[in-house]
Amino acid sequence: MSTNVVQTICPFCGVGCGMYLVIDHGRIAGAEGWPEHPVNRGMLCPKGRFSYALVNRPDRLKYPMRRDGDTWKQISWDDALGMMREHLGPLRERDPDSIYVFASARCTNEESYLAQKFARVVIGTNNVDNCTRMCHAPSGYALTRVFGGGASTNSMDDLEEAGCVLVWGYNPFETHPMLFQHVIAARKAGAKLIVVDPRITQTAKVANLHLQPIPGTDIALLAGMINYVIQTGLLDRKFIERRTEGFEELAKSVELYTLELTSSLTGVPAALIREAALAYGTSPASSILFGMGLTQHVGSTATIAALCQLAVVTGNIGRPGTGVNPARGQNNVQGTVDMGAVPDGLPGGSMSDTSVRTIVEQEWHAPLPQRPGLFATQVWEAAQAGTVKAAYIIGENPVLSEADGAAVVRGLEAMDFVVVQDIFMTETARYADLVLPASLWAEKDGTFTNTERRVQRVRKVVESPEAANRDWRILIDIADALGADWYYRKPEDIFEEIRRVVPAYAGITYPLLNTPGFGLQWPVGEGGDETEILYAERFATPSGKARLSALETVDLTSRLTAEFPFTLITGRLMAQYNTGTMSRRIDQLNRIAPAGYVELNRDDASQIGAVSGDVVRVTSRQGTLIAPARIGTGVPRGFVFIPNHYEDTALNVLVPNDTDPVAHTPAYKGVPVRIEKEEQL
Amino acid sequence: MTTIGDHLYARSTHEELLTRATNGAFVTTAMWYLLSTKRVDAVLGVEHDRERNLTHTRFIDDPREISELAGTVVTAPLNIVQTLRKYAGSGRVALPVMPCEEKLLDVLIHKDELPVQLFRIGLVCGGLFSANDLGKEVKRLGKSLLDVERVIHGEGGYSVSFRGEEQVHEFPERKTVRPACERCVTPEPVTSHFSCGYWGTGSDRGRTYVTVNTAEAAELVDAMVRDRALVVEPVPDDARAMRKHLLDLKTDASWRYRRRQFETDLVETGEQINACPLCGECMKACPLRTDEYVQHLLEGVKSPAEWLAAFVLDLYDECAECGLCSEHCPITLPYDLVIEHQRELRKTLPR
Repeated sequence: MSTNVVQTICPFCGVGCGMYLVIDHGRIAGAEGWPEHPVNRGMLCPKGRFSYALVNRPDRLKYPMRRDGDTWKQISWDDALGMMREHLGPLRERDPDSIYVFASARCTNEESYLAQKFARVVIGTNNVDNCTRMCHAPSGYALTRVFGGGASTNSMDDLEEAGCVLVWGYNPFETHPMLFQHVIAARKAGAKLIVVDPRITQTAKVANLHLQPIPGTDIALLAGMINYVIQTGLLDRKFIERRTEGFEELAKSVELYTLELTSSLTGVPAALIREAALAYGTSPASSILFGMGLTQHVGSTATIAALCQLAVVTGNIGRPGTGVNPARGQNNVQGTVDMGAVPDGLPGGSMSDTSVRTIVEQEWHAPLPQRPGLFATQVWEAAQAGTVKAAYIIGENPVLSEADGAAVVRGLEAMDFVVVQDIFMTETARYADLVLPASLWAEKDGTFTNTERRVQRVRKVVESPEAANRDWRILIDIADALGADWYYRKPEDIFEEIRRVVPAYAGITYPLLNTPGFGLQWPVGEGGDETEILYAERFATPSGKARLSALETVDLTSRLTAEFPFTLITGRLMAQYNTGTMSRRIDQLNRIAPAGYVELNRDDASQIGAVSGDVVRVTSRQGTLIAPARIGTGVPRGFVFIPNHYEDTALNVLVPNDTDPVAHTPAYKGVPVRIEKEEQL
Repeated sequence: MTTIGDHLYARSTHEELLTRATNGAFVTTAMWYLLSTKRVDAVLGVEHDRERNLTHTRFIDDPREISELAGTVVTAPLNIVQTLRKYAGSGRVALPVMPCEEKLLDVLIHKDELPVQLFRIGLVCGGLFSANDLGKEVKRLGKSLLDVERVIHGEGGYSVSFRGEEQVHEFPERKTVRPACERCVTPEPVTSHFSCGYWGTGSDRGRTYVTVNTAEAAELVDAMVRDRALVVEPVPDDARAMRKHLLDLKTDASWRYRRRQFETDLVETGEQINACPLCGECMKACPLRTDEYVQHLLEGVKSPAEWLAAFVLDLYDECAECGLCSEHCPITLPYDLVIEHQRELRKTLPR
């Protein structure tokens, strides 16, 4: 026995825990927490601990495969590249916008950068997006609207300096166990923990205050809290005068929201709203963490903008223990957005910013496509209408993840050519014409950017199996097959180009990331000068001030009807991850969380005559699914909860593709459904 | 001839190991010797890589690599017991162990649950306070460590009182490896072959204080001396007295700290226990249990109270109070403290 270790970053969620892989004679034998790492301090959650088991899986995609009727035919890379040229070439000539590229938030920054460059330069379209559309896109727009930049303002480490932590629509216990450790540490150090969530989550169980609003009424709750803060003078007047603009507009728009009105709109007792506003407003430093419970609604961008304004009027921004922090889902979703893999953005900023356009055009020696691209949630309709004819899907599983799963399948079937590049045969890959075998995080070099803007190195430990290749290499080969002549030899070459176009990354270099090895939080200046807290001096808006504005009106009328009287809430479990492409292939995790279920309140269950284990049918306007019932303490009456990981209970068939008007994120939360007990034969 | 119970000052003759390791480099030299003479198949070392900012465990089967590890065998927040279980395979392994790890390994050896045979070199643990740091502070006050009557651990530091003096001196906090270290009352390894450690006596500079606990250990020292890998001499009486004094101080401080924690932390546990998510992470982190076993134990448990009862009953006789369970608990419930408290309670019950 002789072992060695390689430092890397966990491939699962946006927390970005440091881990090292244990190598025994060239084979990965295990994963262990990296004790010195500031994010996880040596611990790993179940997903991280068993992540290594994926690398040696026999069912990895190992060769390019072409659809041959109902079966798959193994082909060479040359043939695969030939197929790409043959199908994408003519489409590009006729209409570049008929091709859609899904970049992956699972890939490295270097790969996401290449994916969007491929779409814009090689294909000539802005049709590129990534899974941020399904999760935190509204946060990006809202934070940019108020602060001028779309990222977490503070670090996990400084949560412990907060006197109050407000966790809104977010259950870090299950979704981000290692970030939750920082919340617990803050609570132990005396911080008040306020949780806003209709469900009684594990996070809510350890909270000092638990507010359970009616789903979709968060903006009213925020208006009530902001108004209470204004009326009782809990404002930071100096901060408002010196560092904000538009306060009067905001104040006027919330003045009707008395505690009583807010309470009647949201269903939260007035005394609780008051107590929460007091705790948040009076603490010397209050921090906000939020998740999908806020973003996956129609009106989410407006709601998050309101949340940011609550932080601003109380001066809770720009200092340790304060801030507004969207807890990012995917390991590199922050980085993928930074790299501009979205239809309305570019590396380094917004598409509408001419100075950003100029820098990018100069670097690429190519004009940028003019027509705006489609958002990922618009593709399937466009495919059925015949405007999008081909899709190149990198490391994403829309058949299980996107709203209205049936429409996704119809869209894929309507397209002429679908390429899926992934590590396993996903549910989406089954609808592809060509499948390309990609690499896991342990098989390539590159960088991930975590939820607190920490850019960190991942390292190649083992070779990819058989003909599988690293995503950046595949992208270069396809680009070259389509006539480009990309010069990159290794990920560092790509990163050097990123540094030239993305100002926040300008000061980051591979040597700086390698030692001391904890990564750097962007923006990074020359010499590796990182930024732990954003907006300490000025905001990133043109005026340098935070932009306050009137809260927008969001339709608060209940969508529940006699036909669909239950509210569906979706979410994650600790031991599984999103659509389960990775986590459901890890035996150790399946033992902990084996199968999907519908969680029901005891009273609701007895009303429909179901007990735990009975099969129930869940029906929405959109679709239907059947799953075993589980009676749980986590859901109040009138609510049901379904975890989003399992193919058998793929809840996206229930979710209509109703999206937020700004961010185009679907409303996965709060879908009205009906529950019936399914008679067993 | 070395015999069981000897207290020795040992100094390596291996120049490279001497420069890289601390004091007499006994621990690394012993591991190097065991590997070179093929008495063991591999050495489990804790490597502290300053350049990469990483502390980790490594199995090494090449004696030349030992010099890279030299000087880095430190008290590390690593679960070497699980490392052994997960990565060791079979064979015979030499390793340095802390007293807490020793207790865990004892349980597993007794139950015959370890796949490997071990040659254990015990290290004395600083625990609550470092004798070295305390020695410096005491010297600054112009006093001797022997004058110290009591050490009391408090918020943000520890306080020290001297014999025949009213005044209490406050010293800054020392970082412990994990919370359970602060209440650990067993600073000295007893079942390992050796018990090695620097105890701030001031007279052992350039040498390692080694206690010989077994016949195999005595034989190894003699062999190393015969092969000119080591030079040994008996420890003078005053240094032995100093070591005993410091161990007593540490044990006393931990006992006091522990009693106070029962009062504060346990009350909080009572309030928090209902938030227990029944995830089993506590016991999965336990070096004494395997994942499969925990999964089996979790089946049928319906409430936090049931799980707490199952946990305490299951580990009651074996718990070594390492505290990994509470460290890995998502809401940091101190399960180990509950077990300890149960044990304390039993002592007070009439027989």
